[in-house]
Amino acid sequence: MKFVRAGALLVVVVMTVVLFIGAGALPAIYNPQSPASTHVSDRYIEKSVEETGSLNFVTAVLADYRGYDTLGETTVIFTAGLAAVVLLRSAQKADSRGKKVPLAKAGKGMSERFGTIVLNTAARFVIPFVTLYGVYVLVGGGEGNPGGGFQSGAVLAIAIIISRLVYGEGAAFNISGDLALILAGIGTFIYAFVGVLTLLWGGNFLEYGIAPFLMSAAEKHSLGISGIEIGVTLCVMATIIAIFDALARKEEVS
Amino acid sequence: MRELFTEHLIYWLILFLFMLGPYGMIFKKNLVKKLMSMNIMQVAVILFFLALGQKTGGTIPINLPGLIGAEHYINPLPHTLMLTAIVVSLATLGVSLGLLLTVQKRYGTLEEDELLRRMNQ
Repeated sequence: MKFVRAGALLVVVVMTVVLFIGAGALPAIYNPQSPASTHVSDRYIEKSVEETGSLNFVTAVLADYRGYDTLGETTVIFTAGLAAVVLLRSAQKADSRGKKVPLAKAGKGMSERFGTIVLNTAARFVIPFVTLYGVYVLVGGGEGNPGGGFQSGAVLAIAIIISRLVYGEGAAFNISGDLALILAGIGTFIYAFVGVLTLLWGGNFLEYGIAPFLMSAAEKHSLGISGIEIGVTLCVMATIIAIFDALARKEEVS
Repeated sequence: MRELFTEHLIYWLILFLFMLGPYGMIFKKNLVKKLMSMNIMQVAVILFFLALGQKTGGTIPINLPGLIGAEHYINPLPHTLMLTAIVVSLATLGVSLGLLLTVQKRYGTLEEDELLRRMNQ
């Protein structure tokens, strides 16, 4: 055991030294001529506004140039949420067999446990603003503000998690774990459906310019980007809520 | 010497952060600490990519009126890649926490030695 640990330490030290030496050969930070910021990045910056109608380059790359990649990421997130929920639910079913959890005890929020007016008031003030900010981040994503579907989904999920934490499972502003999973599926479906629509119209997968609408190409791209951003937002928000629900429910029941 | 600090110091700091990950995953006995080490490693990778995207004289990658030309904006590609990586790391964190909860429920411990002992019984 001692030898194994010594060997592992040796591996870590050697790896550190090798990486440190290798880092010296990397291009200097802030250098505009470094390989990372010369080839494809210039093309994105110069052409994306006229090609996609999105003022935010990050959104243009995320949802248009690399749209297929992002579909994969969204599916990974959905699958991970599904896996976490299945894992926790099956374990929970196995050990709560036979004994019944009193409903009054399950799913109490902090305000019932501690009963403070401070918590309730703070949550009541914070939740609307967080929700509004989440929607703003989504809408602003393509309109020249920082933002987009992934960030918006995370912020909206935070609003619901605050509500869940303070008011418990019976909160009025809440999405239950089951509904969240369904919403995550719907979000992923919206994304894939936009791609399939472009296929049906005779284009390539996620080729927005093929849409038979009376618009300029940039506007069509803009529309397609909005569609998949909504799908991504739904998927990310619902997945985070589903994972939180699965983790928190476990704690509340036992 | 000055060039060394301004050009490569950030990489070495990020590497130090990165190597905390393998170190923690190998030498810490608690599974939650191993998970935290993995997350530190992910953060280091994200920082590394963002550092590669910086440019002198560049502003945020959003089209501003009157600013035309690639030299005025930082590279949007690393931001895009890391945006998805952050959310994916959150999802993997959820799955691994679920796994840890299941292990804890079944064996009653998250310490590696104790866990191995109880698994062999």
